[in-house]
Amino acid sequence: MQPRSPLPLLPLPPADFGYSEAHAQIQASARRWLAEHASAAELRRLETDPVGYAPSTLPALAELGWLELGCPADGAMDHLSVALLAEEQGRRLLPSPWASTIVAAALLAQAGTPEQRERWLPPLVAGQATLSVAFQEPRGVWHPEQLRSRAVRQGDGWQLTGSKLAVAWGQRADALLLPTRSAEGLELFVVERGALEVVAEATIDSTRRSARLGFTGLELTERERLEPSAAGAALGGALRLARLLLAAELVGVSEAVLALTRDYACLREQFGKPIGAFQAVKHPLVDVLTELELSRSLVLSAALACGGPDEAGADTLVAMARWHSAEGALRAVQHGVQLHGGYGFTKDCDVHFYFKRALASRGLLGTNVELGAELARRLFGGS
Amino acid sequence: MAESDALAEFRRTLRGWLAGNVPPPPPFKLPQTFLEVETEAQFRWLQAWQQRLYDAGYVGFDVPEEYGGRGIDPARQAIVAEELIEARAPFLVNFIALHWAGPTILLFGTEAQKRRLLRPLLRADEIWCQGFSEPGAGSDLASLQARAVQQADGSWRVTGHKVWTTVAHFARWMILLARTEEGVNKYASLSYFLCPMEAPGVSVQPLVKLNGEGGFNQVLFDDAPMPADALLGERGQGWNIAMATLMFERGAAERGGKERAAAFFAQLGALVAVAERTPLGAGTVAEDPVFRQRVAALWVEGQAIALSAMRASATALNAERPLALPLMSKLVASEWAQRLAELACEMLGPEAALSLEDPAAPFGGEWPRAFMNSFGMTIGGGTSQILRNILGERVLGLPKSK
Repeated sequence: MQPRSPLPLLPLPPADFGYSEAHAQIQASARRWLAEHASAAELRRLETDPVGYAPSTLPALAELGWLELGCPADGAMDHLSVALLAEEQGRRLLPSPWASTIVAAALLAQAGTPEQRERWLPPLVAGQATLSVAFQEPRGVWHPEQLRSRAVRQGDGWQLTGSKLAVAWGQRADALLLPTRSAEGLELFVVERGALEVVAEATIDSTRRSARLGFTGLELTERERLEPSAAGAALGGALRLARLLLAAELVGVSEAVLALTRDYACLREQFGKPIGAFQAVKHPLVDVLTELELSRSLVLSAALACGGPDEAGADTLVAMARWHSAEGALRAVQHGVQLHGGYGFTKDCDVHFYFKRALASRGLLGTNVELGAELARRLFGGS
Repeated sequence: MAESDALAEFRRTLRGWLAGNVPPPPPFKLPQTFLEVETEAQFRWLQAWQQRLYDAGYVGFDVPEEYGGRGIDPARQAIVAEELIEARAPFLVNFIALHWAGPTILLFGTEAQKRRLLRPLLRADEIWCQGFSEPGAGSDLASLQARAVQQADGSWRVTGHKVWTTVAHFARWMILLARTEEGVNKYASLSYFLCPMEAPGVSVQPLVKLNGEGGFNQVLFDDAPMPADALLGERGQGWNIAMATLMFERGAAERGGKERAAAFFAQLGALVAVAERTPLGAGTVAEDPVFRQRVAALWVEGQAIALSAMRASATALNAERPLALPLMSKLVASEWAQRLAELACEMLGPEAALSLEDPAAPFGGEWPRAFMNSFGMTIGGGTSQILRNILGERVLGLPKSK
């Protein structure tokens, strides 16, 4: 047989995938709440809403405990719970800055000064404030080493110049977390929205809004700077969490599209039978099913690895989960539109919401080509 | 989770035994899997390996001791499977017997059948083949035409034509599906037999696979006699028993996730080795950005398949859709292995055209051979198309296609 090259050993999940009765309850209560409060009719109502999410949503999620799970007081996040919630949110496309806020909270909790944490975390857990991390910059830049936004020391303070885009719910966030680079390396700042030039992006996906930020010679004080010694690890952790949440959400997107399309294939009749009896319809739906089950295994394993000691292994599994779920979701929504036929081509059919989410998520925090290159470096080394 | 001390000790002992007992490669070409055992020399060599492993006490952790097994012990069974892959040991030649016929006999056999058949099956003293498919009955298996007629003394006579019969030329027994009943539907008219292959009227003719290899056959029955106790289960119960066999065959019944993971690591590791050792331009395939993307994709997909095999036993997590992972495992794993072999051939460029016979063929010509052989897995045991029907109907609840 072939000579064998050693493969990177990735963290393996425990036999029960760490799934407990408590997880089952979190999932069930989320599902109950979402079934009552998140509907396609609500998505249609919010399409033209200037805010994009109901003001009651965040306080309600706080009451359900979603924010506390995502921003635990002791800092020990149960990533599995959070991933399960993200999938449920993805199934319904519930518009809310929950995911972007808990990512920002994780960053602030790890690298914020005591004063910054005191200022932002309590209202955030109560659902009364939102934050967002501005990861993404123009020209496809998101990697912390490649950021073009600059921070320059100015006397006792700082001067920031740069631009950001695709900042999730940035137009409503109370404050933005800005990763920048200075002569010393990575610098993170927490800045109230009013200090920045914020433009809401006109996006195809009305269920997750985003903003562009600009700042030129923005004067900041040391009080807005996060702990520099923790900045690198904290931003890496936030990036990992953001990718994990995206991946979990995309599994939810695939699930929802599969359910819609499966139901339609059982109802819609042509040639005297439900179209789901035709293998040309049945087999693509099975491919959606198998892809999403495979994605789910990666997402759950990645979530479990995020709490573990092997950070590089967790990063790799998260990158895999994000790659696979983005592929699967894009395939799912394409089949979703196609198999609904002429109806699928209209805005009357709910599939379009999911199509837009899958397309809009795909390029965030690394395209699949970038992720592929990142994974290949782990296998082969080199560039 | 940590293994108990006893299991860890078992693994250590086994590893030590394998280090001293896995034979060096023979002077002749070995088949890649049980599907392509061609020559007497290959067969004897592989049979001797299974016998040695059995005698050392490492075969049959899924069979009670009174039938020649080691007692039901899934943990040790899984450890043996993993360590065999890890040690790159030869495969077990009585594969059909171990994984399909044996579990079926254990489930449906009489006490006498279990006592007579299981021990020599585990030791590869008696080889088993499978007689389900026919020239006119592949995916539509229940339309098969082989007929068994019961005689006045209770014995049977069988006439028919079976195809794609792997290892029939070395087999002492066949699990045989034949029509026995009149006037009932096609499913209820089938019975399941444990048919002796040395009976008069049974003839085995080799079939040649697309890559020129043998290893499978067609079997003709011309009024061949079978004793009364060749019947497994009840008359007319054949379809249900055959479905149980097919579940075993597709790995739908519990197969260790770690075993799947170990197989995945071996295959992907081999692919990475091809990329690193195959020159391309001034460097190697492993430096080419397009090939790197394709290998990365296979890595992700293979990791997902291995993790899914592990997740299949985390039942609380799969309550929403309990059948999906067991029913999809053969489909996704066989199609993945096919894509992997295809990519390895792509990496070899024009040299993928070289066969086993050319001494200059890279990696001994194994990759084009593996690619061609991979179709055995996407066709055998339920084609990918039939499996998609089953998943669509049983898991998604879509209307039947026929």
